[in-house]
Amino acid sequence: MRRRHTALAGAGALLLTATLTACGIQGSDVIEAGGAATIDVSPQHRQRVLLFFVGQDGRVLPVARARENLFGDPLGRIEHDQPPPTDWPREDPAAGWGTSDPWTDQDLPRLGTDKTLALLMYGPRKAERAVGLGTRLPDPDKQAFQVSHQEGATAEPGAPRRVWIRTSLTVTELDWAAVQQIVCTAVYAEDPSGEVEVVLRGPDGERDPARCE
Amino acid sequence: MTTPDAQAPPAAGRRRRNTTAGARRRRLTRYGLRTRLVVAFLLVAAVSCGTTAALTYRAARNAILEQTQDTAVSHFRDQVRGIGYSLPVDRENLQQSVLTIARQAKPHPWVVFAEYGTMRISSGTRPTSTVLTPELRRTALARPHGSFQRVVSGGTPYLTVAIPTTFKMDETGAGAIRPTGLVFFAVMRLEDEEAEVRAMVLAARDGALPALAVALVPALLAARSVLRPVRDVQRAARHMGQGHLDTRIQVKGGDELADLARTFNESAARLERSVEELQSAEARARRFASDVSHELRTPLAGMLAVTEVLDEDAGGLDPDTAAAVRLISAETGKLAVLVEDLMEISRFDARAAELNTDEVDVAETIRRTLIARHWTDPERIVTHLPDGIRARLDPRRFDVVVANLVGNALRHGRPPVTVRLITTGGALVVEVTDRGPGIDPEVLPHVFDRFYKADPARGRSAGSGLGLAITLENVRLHGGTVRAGNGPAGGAVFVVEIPLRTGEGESTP
Repeated sequence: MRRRHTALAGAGALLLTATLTACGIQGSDVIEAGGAATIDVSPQHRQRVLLFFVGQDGRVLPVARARENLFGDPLGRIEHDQPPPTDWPREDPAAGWGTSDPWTDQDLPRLGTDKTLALLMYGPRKAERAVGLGTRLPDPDKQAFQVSHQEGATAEPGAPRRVWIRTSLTVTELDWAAVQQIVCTAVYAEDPSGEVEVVLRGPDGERDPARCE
Repeated sequence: MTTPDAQAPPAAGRRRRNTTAGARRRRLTRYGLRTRLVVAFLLVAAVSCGTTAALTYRAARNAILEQTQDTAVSHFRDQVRGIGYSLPVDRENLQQSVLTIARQAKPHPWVVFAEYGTMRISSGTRPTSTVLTPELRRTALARPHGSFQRVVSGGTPYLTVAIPTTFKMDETGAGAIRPTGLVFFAVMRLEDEEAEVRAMVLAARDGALPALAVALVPALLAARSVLRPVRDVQRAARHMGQGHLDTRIQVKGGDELADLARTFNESAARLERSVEELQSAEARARRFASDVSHELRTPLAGMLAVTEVLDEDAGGLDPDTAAAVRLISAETGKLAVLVEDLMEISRFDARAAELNTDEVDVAETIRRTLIARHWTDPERIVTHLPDGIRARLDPRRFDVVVANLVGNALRHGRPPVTVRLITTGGALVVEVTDRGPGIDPEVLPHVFDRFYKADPARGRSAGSGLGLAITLENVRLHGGTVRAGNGPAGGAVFVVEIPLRTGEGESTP
């Protein structure tokens, strides 16, 4: 008799709670639904240089600079309000800086990885800083990047291509964001597929191979 | 080892619980079978109704929400997809596209928010939303997937959608796809869905109540179909209790209740057969006793005549033979009384005893009885017989009653024996009291039984052993009662009560 009562009360309570809690629309957890939206970034692929800076939340974000603007103010010198370094390459298409003619886009040669990294070292421009982008890399005085592709043994087939970058920075002291800035910039300057590993080598030693995450 | 003291409190608690459980059981069984059946039926109906409604409601609600969510997410993604931006994102440009997307809302109006670095743009009045949760922002910023979340804020349900944006590294599509850091959010009120869901709840409730009311009809019918056979059995049992052993129930169908009826019928048939056998056996036994008494009567009459002659001549015989002759004579006399009594009892058993009433003066009748038996010694018999009480009685049977009671008192009790006649409230009461040791309480219920021996060791009594039984039958024939008991001063008291019938026309046997 007692157990039957308990069972009845249980059934009633269940019914009641089911009716009450099921009423209306409840909040939910975050539910993933489909992929992201792919947007078009201008300038288009061959006419831009991708550099990676660090947002205020610590994430590494890309900026796309137009190739044709690189000559007029290639490093954002006016914003930086400082003279160009004396060893900075002049306008010399043969040196890999491309051409100033926007109408010959298709024939723009690839900007060298070392040049791209030099742009990165100069830090974000004014518009980029305006949205909170900054750099974790030290001052751009002393750097020169030497990029080498075939140093040491060749990688196994199927494995990502490996690039060695020699710099005067003390690479072991760089934080994750700074390393990612260099690595991502170098990786996408080398190959748009991103299938490249980068080894940073400085006067203080060598870091493990890294990819753009 | 626990001490008895330590065990006592739980035991008391259990006892108390048991009594409350018993009270609850009584409370539940107090309701009739019909009420319990109907309640159980309705309960089952309510549970199944409620469960069905709840499950249907859940499924329908989820379907509504899923459709809205899927539409909103995919449409929002479509709106965001394909827009061109520079990196870093240009504020004016983003503002324009946010407003454009906000106008393309589907399925309901939405407010669009965009987040890039420190830049916060919205299509509404405020650049950021209070509805968007940190979890959604974190998920959208960390993973290149669309995501959504339902949020109830201030009682209003919202659907919040987050779509991060990515871009291709080269035109062929073979290149990598990287997040841009630009994330779009849409906040949409789910008021229509809320209204639809509420309408469903109302519909479920409004549907369930009539369903319960409708369920009452089969519940009552079911209770009726169960209760009708039960009532039949009850009626038959009562009928049978009133002595109609030929009562049978009509058996319909093959269910448990039909089994019950069949069992009842079989039991009734067996009972009827047993009772018939018993009755015929009893009738045979009575007829046998009656026949035996009749057969004994004739030879006994002859023997009585002979013993009388022998008795008279006993004086002339030698002493031993005279004693034997007197013994035979006395025993023959007793045997004759016994046979007479047996025949009287047989007549009662055969319901052949007739009441021949006459209106008599009761005191006079009693006095005549005592004189006829020579019970006139005032030391032994004390009478309180007020004159003028008249009643319709069978004088012969009344004489037997009084003679038996007084004779019994003289034999088993001690004199003086008091005979008192009174009338109370329409009844005639004759009270016979002695001064003896009274009747043993264990014997008291059996004093009117036939041949009952109060003391088994005593063997034969002076009487036939049928005197009080015949008294009882005679009183009953008058429609009265006789009681035996012990008086306050000790001594047996026999009380005869006979309804007073002074009028004419009630002399029927």
